[in-house]
Amino acid sequence: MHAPDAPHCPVYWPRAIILVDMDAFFASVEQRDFPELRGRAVVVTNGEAGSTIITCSYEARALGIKTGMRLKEARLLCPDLIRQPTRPEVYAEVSTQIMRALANLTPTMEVFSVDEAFLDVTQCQRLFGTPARMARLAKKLVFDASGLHCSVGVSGDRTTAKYAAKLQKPDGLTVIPPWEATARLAPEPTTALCGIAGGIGRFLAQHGVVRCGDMHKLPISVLARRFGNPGRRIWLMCQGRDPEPIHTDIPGPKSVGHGKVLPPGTRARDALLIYLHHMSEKVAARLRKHDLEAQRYFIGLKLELGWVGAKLQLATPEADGNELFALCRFVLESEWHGEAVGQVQVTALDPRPAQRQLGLFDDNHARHERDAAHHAVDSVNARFGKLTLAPARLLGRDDQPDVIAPAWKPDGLRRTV
Amino acid sequence: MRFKIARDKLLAPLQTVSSVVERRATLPILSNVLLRFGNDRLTLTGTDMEIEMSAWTDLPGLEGFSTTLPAKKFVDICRSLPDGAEVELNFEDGRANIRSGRSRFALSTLPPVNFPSTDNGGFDGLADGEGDEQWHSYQLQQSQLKRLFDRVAFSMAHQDVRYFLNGLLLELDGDQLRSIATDGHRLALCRLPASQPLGDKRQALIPRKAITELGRLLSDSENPCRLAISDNHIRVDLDGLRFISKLIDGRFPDYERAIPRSNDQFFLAQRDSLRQALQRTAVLASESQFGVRLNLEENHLRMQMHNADQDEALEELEVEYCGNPIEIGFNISYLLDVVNAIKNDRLSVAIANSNSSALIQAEGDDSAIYVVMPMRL
Repeated sequence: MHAPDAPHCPVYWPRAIILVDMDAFFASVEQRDFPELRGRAVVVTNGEAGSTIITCSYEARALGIKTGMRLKEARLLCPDLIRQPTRPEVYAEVSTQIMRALANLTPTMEVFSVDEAFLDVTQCQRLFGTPARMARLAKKLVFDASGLHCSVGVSGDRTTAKYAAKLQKPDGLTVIPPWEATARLAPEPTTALCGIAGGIGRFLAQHGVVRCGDMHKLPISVLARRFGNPGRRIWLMCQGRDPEPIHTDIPGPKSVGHGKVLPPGTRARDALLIYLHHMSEKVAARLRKHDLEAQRYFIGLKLELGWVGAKLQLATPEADGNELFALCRFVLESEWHGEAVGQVQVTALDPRPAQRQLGLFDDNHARHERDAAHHAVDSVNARFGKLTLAPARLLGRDDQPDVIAPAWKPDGLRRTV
Repeated sequence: MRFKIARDKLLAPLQTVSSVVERRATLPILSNVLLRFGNDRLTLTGTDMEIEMSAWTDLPGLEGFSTTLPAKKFVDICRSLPDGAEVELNFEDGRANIRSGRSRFALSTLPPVNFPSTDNGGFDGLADGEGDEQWHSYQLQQSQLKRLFDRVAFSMAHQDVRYFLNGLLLELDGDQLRSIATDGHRLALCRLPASQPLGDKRQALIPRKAITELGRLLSDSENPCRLAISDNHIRVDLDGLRFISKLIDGRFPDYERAIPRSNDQFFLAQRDSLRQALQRTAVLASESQFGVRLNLEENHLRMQMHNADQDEALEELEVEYCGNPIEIGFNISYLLDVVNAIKNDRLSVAIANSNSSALIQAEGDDSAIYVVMPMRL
């Protein structure tokens, strides 16, 4: 890494990584949507009953309130604190808009969490100009898409970019050119870097490495022996040379499922069949949408005393609502004895890329026709809305919102938070 | 009960039978090997309740006696004794005392009554066909049986829900022995003319594990072996060894229907060049991407594959083909398995269209035929 002779001339960075980090994301969305909250100390909790602060506005932070604090403690610091319950669907929607906007800058983007994204803009320097200019562009894209502010860090690697973004908040922009990264990180404690937690920090301290600048004294082999490749990465990270690429591929899902909370006291067989058929169709449609199929399924009914259900296997991997519904019927016949059902769940346990292998003993013609029918149904529903074309039984369905899934990625299979 | 035996004489049969003994058996007795003395020999038996293997060694002049010993420990002790050592075994008070040179071991035994053996090994004086089961037996060469298994075994399914596919179907029919294996995507069939009339058609669906074990036991020699089939079991008698396996109780699919009869587009290829091209192309195959695209034109075959990383492979080779241009996709590992199983120099592939199965065999030899279903591309 050499210092350029004339830093004011445009210099192409060998690597340029931007980290976009939303400022107090959930709280900012609340302040955006409810003007009366602006300029006030706002904390977001999980529903009206949540007692732990998920995030808080900068006004609240100024009073010493932090994420993870109990609401009671926070009220001691700020008696006229405003508590807002989370609105996960809204955050998901806003996040999706932001990520889509950022994708206009570069396709090499990794959605790191609901409010953070890494962008590798190395290849865009001729197109959009210096990394600093692109960082300003990113801020503008985020603001235009959502009306929210973010803090941006720019450097030659992920770790330094993430470190940089934290330096100025809110609405900050920090540029650390790659040739300055080593020197800028040197005085920082190693644990200030993302990915170096207590355990590794203690190990490093035992070896005389407290600040990033001490790292070069430690042979890389010491870390490699103890932690393997992640150890080698830490050695490089502390010197502003984190080699980790931006991961654009999203790993395949471990399961694909839909569940629904039923009105209290649902015990009518026909109603349960409708719910189960509805979930079967949704799971199958989502598998097909992502070109997946699955052989093993969990079908569950939540009774007063807990879940009953079964893990069942089809003869071959499928993505067909009717096959799935047949399993549901089986579970209903064998596990349910007329109790009130509080919730139903249908989950594909082993989703995998759909195979195009034809079978020797299958009716390949029938299969081909069924696939064509699926394709037609999916196209109609993609254009006119979910379940526009659906089994007749679903005419009787009620359109309560689905049960909210705990994890979320805008481009993943989950569409809700 | 005390006797002496050369370590080498004991070790060979002991190692053979202990290969079926499961490491972690559900019943304690299944971790043990059964020792039976009598008929001037020592017979060792191991079982996993599905497969039972007995091997024996001459040991004259002992009264009838039987016991069971922990298989793994017994094998490990015998194996670690020096070559040519003499082992003295002494059974008393439910323990087996093993002495050799200056080594002494005492192993605990379990009573043999609980050992789940299907085969009486001639110990109660019963001959073939005199027990509860009706056996039909045939004499053939080891190499013949080995060929029947080896040619098709790779096509067996592995842990398929359709449990009847996790095995090999052996058919004895008039003047022919046939072995068939399929996993639902590809099928292999091997035929062998019988040296003796076989009578009415009989079928035995042999489990996968038994085929694997037999593959190890059978040699490529002309030594005789005796094959016997009952409704529930298959038995193979080799020199100094008896192998018995339960059969799969299931209905094998109608394999005749899966063999294409009207494929009229043929190509002939050199086996080695085809195999090498497939092997190179398969470098790009992965767990989720294994489809290879074949394009046939006059005397020309193009093979293409690409994967999720956008890597691409292209192979071109000369074949004998004079049909219409055709494009067809296959799981490359299925093709490789078949090409590896065919030992002749040239092979022929018969295709109808890109949605129906291909029939592959050695040129002019239909003793072993292979059917592979295509993939949609």
